Amino acid sequence: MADIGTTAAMEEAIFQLVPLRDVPPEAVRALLAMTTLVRFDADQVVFKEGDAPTDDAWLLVTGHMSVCVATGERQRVMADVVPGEIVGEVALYARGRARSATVVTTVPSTALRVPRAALVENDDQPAVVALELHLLETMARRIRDTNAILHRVLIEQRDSPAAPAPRLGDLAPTAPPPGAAAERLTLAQRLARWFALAR
Amino acid sequence: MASAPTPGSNLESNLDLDALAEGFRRAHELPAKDTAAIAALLASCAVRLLETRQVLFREREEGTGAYFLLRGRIGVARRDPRGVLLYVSTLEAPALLGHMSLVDGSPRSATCTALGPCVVAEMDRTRFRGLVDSGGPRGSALRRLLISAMSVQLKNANSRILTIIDPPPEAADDETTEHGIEEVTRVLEGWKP
Repeated sequence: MADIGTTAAMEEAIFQLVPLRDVPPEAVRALLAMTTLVRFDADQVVFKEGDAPTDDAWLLVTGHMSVCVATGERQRVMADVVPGEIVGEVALYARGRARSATVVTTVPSTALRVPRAALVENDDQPAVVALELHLLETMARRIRDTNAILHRVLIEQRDSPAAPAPRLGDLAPTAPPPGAAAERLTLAQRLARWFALAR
Repeated sequence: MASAPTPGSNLESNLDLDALAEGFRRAHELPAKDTAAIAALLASCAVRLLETRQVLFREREEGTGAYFLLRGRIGVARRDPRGVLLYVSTLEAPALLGHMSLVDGSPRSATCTALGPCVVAEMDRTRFRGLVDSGGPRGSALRRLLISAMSVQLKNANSRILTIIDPPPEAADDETTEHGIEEVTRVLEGWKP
């Protein structure tokens, strides 16, 4: 990881990021003055699950990152991060929470380190408002995707004969639908299949 | 705090706004300066009282408002492809709900039902969008509340998926969880679509 200056080309890349492309250039430059541009190699950890709370998040400018969560000894990829998206946002708005996931680059990448103060102390800054709105939209999409997966998992858990007792609050009858036994996989097998596809 | 807020009334005349706002601020670990802005947000809302088993909104409906849960507990449920109700989670005051549909314009993703007497503050869609899109203390406070609440939503959903994949050994003896689910079951079993 290395702090780098903002070249004209990189500044142009930042201007074209989805959340900032409609923001006046002078407002984007004001945001840049409060942030640091950092270069990462491929497969470099940006922050780790369980890391002590910090006061900054990352806006990906170029490259790609993966959000991973440990389950046992394995790391499961929970989400992809593309340019224009923010990761580590919990640190900006909810101080004191440890990092809940590991974020790692998959290719050489550049990202803006956004300190909490840059957002919290600049309520009227158009670039800040734009970043927060984009973050809301991104999170809404992630939540809907994740909830759809969770809903499927809960149905699988209820309907699979190999599943453990319905500990997660399945209030519905447990009888499987007619014909549903054509392919009987355990819950673990179905999830393993799904996660393999998700990768 | 007054004990009997009036339905449909302005919130300010019934409840201690500063205390409620501070509760939301602390729950979401927001900057101290946001308390006054959150109190102003709540002051612009209308009070709604919910009886046990009363539905606040239903899955697939259009989102017309966002809600601050001020008192009580709300059960969140979705229907499976066969139309069978599936419990998802329980929200306890102070909490935000109904905001997702107003953020991205999608229909309600779940049905929210009062698990006991509840007090909610309702912010209509027009006002919500106007504030979310604006600068200034109130717009910023609302965005920060939403981002914090949605971060927790996302983290909890991911945790539940991972718990099902790799259940912790002690989970089998979690009597507290079982007890809570039984309680929610008793309420929602009486719920009729």
